[in-house]
Amino acid sequence: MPESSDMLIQVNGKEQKVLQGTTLLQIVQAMGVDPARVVVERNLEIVDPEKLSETRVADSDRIEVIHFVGGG
Amino acid sequence: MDDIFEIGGEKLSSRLFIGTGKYRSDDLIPKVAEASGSQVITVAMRRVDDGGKGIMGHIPAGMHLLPNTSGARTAEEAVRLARIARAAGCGNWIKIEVINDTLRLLPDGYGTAKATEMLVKEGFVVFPYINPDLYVARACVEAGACCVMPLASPIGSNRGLRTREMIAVLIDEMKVPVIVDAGIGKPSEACECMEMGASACLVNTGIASARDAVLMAEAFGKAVDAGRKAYLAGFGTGRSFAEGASASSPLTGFLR
Repeated sequence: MPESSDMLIQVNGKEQKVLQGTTLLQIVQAMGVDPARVVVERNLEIVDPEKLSETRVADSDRIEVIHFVGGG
Repeated sequence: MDDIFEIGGEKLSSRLFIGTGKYRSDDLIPKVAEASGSQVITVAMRRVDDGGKGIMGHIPAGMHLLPNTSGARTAEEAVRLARIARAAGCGNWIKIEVINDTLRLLPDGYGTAKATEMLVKEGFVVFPYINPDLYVARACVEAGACCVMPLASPIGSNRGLRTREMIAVLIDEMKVPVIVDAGIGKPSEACECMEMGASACLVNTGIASARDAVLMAEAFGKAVDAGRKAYLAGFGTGRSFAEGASASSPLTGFLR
């Protein structure tokens, strides 16, 4: 598959087209949040924060980017 | 007198737990925390919205975090959220909420007990939010919960201590701390929980929805402390209506 081809993934329940080779860190940064303050799940598996920059998404991945909010 | 509350491997001097939801401005949270004297603070987990900053920047350093599993509809979803909280570096305390009832947000005791069992096995210190039901409380404790957190009235309702008798049963029966959670709207209600022998109270909406949240936080801190001291002091006996008064001053030596 050529480098430039798009993949379709889901991020927080919304479909998103990304380029081949996109990393989880890039996805988090594109959301405008501090990667140190989120937890990322890839297909229901929690991703080690140290590995966000080296983990490349695959077609059909379901990514969840979760953070803490106010609650009781 | 030292009155230390030992829970989840920690020693606390304050018996008020506070939440972080519904503040007009999250900038109030550090001031509320300081005014309340609380050492334990709850947070929730949600998907990141574009640009959302989250709450962690508003949590004072040194407070014990108690993440909740709100949003979980099943035991399995609660377990998933608990693992996420731990992965975020928030320690191993988790307040289990398993809720399907969208009107009154009443907790599912069966799902809560199941999630408690699963998470205790994974090394979590589990704080289960429950209806004040003796059998659900026992199931959670048998599964390894560190306490039980019965509701005073529905979450966020400010309706006060509506489940008084059932909470009294739990306080009498359970060997673990009873932390009254949900529905407490006034400091007097938190005080009453403590007078009854509750080990602690969790208050969110009662503080967050006050006109002056910081002043209300201080009032709740004092009320919880007062109720605890009254419980420890032990109440004098009361008299029935028919028995009438019992003079506080001597009934002899009147000047005539």
